Amino acid sequence: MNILKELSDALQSGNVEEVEKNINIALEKGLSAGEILREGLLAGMSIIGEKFKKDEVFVPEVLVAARAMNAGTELLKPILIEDGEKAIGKALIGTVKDDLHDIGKNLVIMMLEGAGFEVVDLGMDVSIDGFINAVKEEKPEVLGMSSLLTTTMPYMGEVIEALKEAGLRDNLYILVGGAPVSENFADEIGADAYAKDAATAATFAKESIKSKNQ
Amino acid sequence: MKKAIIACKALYPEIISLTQEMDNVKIEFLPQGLHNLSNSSKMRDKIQQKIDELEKENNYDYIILGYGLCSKGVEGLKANQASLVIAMVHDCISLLVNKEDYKDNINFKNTFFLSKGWIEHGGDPYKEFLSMTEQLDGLISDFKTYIKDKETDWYERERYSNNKKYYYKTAKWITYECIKNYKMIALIDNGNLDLFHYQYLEEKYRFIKELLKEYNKSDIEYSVLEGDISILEKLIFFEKDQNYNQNILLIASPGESIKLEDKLIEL
Repeated sequence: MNILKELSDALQSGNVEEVEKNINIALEKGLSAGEILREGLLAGMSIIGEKFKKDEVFVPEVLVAARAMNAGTELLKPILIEDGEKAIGKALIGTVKDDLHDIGKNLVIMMLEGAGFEVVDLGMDVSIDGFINAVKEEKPEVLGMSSLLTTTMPYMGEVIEALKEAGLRDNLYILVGGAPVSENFADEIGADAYAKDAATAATFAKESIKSKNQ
Repeated sequence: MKKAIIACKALYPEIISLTQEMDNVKIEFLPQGLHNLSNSSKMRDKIQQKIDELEKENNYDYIILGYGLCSKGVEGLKANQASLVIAMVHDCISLLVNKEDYKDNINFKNTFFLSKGWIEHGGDPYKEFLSMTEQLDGLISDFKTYIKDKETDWYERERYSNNKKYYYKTAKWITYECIKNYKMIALIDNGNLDLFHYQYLEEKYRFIKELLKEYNKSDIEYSVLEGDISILEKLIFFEKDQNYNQNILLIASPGESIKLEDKLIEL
């Protein structure tokens, strides 16, 4: 069987040992770290994402698959660096103030890394100042904000306002997401886009870099 | 006036208690947990289906919704002949307790709430853990002893039996990821708690405390809060107030969709 498919299957079952074993086999076979990351790990995570949307798997399955993906990317990171794979951009991701949900955010981080971004995880319950200071310090191309509660959604708008006041808004591609967030809401608060899932977030972020470089 | 109520089963005890003197109201409960489905449109579809069923069976003047915004699962609901009535709150917790009463001692962002209805009819990470590790039987048997002939269904066989089973260690890790940020479990008392509920609170608390300790996370506490169902009462007896409690209730006329997001999410 195709080693990349075996890797994807192992990730989907959340089997960390199998994922590590298959990565090593793939490397021995001469596959590049980048290819293993994209065609093996990311591919498996995308399938889990699709199944989640169709209620074929639930949060527990997503969590164990994500854990396996993390283990896989940790193994590949040093090799990717050796191979000279440069980051296509930098992204900052955080869950807004008073919100302690991070499962979705962590998936976005994974998919962004898979897409070639350097990602700085700001964690959860990030204050407005927390976001502003991080943008000043890290100078990312992409800012992602997550909110799972309707009570914390307004903070996204406040962060964008604060960024405008600080003169930092224009250099950023701002993505927002989370279960109660919508395209309408993203428009209302002046974000660049609403990403309905982690894969979409990575796609939009990647496209934003491409169009910037054109 | 023909009234009907469609409500989340987490509110079962309080709604039954408030409506026991009423003999002309149709009440339908839907399972707790609809807001956890992968898309808010799925929750909306299930409630809409119930609204449509009720409208086919009788010409109700008002259909009361026992929900909050609930991650927007109620946004866009519509009845054709009836008016829909809903409280302008983010979720059911505001229908069970007055958060203002506790804002100095409870940090709502890291508190997990329980109530009689939540324990008897709802799911929570502890029950999910027991289900993943095939240990539900013990709790179900305690539960049956307490419940005897009372109506309940939290252990919804179908939902929990379909849960994938995991090794103990993995199930603990999964549960840890879901509860790692809780600092408080708050049991809401609306004058309807028994020893059984306190025992459940303590069992869940001990489990989470042990789990957090394994991951060197800071401690969790528990608390019992005096509930407040005044908003729920205003909702069910909305016609008693001439102004229909304009600040608390939203009434959508026949054919009009519920638009709660605009009212609750201020920008």
